[in-house]
Amino acid sequence: MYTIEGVAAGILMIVTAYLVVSTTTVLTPQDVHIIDMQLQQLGNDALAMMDTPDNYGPYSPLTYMIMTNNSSSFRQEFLSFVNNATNIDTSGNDRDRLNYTASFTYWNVTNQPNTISFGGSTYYRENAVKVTRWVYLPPFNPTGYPADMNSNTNQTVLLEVLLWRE
Amino acid sequence: MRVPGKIDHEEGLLSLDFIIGFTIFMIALIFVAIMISGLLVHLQSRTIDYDAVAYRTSVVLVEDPGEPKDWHLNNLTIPAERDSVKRLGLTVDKNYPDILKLNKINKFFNNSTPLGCYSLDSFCNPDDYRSRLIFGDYPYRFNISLKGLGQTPLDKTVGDPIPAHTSYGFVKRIVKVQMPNSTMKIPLTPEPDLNQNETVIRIDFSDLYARPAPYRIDPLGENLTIVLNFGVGLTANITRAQICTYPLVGVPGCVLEDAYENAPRMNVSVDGNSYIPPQLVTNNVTVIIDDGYFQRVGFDRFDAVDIKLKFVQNVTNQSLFYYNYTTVNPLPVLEPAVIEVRVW
Amino acid sequence: MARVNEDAQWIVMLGFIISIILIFLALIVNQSALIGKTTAESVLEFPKSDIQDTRAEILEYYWNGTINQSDLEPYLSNLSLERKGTIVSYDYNSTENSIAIHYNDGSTEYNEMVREP
Repeated sequence: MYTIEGVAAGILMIVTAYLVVSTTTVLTPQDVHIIDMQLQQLGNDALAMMDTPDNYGPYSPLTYMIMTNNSSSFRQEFLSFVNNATNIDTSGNDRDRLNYTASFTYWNVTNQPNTISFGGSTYYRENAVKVTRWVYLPPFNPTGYPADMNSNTNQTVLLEVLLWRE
Repeated sequence: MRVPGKIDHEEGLLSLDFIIGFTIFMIALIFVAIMISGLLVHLQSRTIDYDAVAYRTSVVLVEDPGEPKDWHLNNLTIPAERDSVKRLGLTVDKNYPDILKLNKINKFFNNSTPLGCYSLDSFCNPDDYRSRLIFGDYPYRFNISLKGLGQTPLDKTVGDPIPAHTSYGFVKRIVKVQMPNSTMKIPLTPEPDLNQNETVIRIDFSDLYARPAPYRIDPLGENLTIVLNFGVGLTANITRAQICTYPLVGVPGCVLEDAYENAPRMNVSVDGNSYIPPQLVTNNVTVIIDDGYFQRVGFDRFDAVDIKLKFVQNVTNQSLFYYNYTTVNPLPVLEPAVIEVRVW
Repeated sequence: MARVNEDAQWIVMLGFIISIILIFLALIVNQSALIGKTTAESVLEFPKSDIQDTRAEILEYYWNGTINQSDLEPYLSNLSLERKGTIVSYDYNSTENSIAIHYNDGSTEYNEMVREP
């Protein structure tokens, strides 16, 4: 008599445990989010510092880079900000290996958004984060830009940079 | 003697039926316990914690001005002033995150070992940093390092050396450091129409506060330097140096140069030597006002002061010199830097 | 037989009690799995840099003197809605010299009144 009772109790517990384990979702710690958080904070910091003028009065370096369509100067300064570290020696060892691709979106004369690329490397499949920055543009001369860009009024464009580690 | 069919409560013998049933039950119970314990594994983890602590520490360092916001003026040898520093943050102002003040950086990285550090004007490593920056009950070990990327070399570190074989929480921030430039140079030349024997330099604090914090000369929180350059052929004897309120009513009135012996004070030097009036000046007179001096005397950001230097002979024909953003050269400038926080 | 032997029912009862305890535990773990998030996810979810950036841009309009320009606001609101999926709007009151800033990205809402900036 005990045997049957024991078997019955055992089956009951195992079935319940199986149901419990199969229905509960388990959050496993995702290490990839930490890397995303560090990259995103770093990218936002770098863009914010490029958007801060060093002296009182002129526009920020980022505004000038977009006004003059100078994506190589943007590349140089942005990569020097994000790849630097406190313990690299003069020969450049221990520099980080971050890379990016940039584009900015503006509101054109026909009231539509338009996106154009602003330099950077080609993105394949790396784990990347996107950081953005609003850039203020005064009236300027849009050489090298499509003709539908507003150029005789103050405007704001959205610069988007996709950042990943090689 | 056993009666068949009757359960005997005194003989400690178990029937086979009972043993089999109980054994099957116990095996099933062990299986279930092992399966369930796998559910609870994810609820406790240590490694993510360090990155969160490092991120929070970096936010307090580079996005917060600290509490009180001019904590870099406190003299840490006085226990009450050391205790009043609640939070160590490095920014110039709460509305300008990521822009750091050089005075706060210098004071922050000035640390000493726990032995006897309470009698020095520096932070105790690691206790002061743990209670005022990292927070939490666990004694985290840390390493914070700063490197300037601009023209001025800036290399600072505080904390334990970075471990080679332990995992640590890490965060890297890009910031800009305000390099304070607050020197005003006044050239004095032997003109034929000199008629003033006292040079008066007026500093109107509300003029200086008209600019936003990253580009501002902060008289209450930074050193101010005024140099009178005596041109070739002009010499004079200096007799008195004082700071007066403008307009000259009420307290504190005029304060002489030697009113205070210890820092922060008004430092005057003549031709590079100490100031002992009356003294002959051939080259220059330099006045350096330490940061925190104006607050010690009792001024605030809405006041104006006159710095008066009296000579025996006539030295200028200008009755008033103004210390403002057009006469100070060069002006404060921002330079980029990278700061790394490691916690383990 | 005349009497059913019910002495072994305690084993089944134990089994039943343990099953109830397991179901209760499963409820608790299920709830914690929904509520608990890693710290990194929480940091990523809160748009700190977005809010700082938007606020800095609007205050730059003020310091440049162009905050009253009526076609500046549509650039900011339309671009942010189109590309980032967030609602940004601001309103400048020239008599009180105050700017009301509104930001909503779906999970965080931010309102601020900047007086005499």
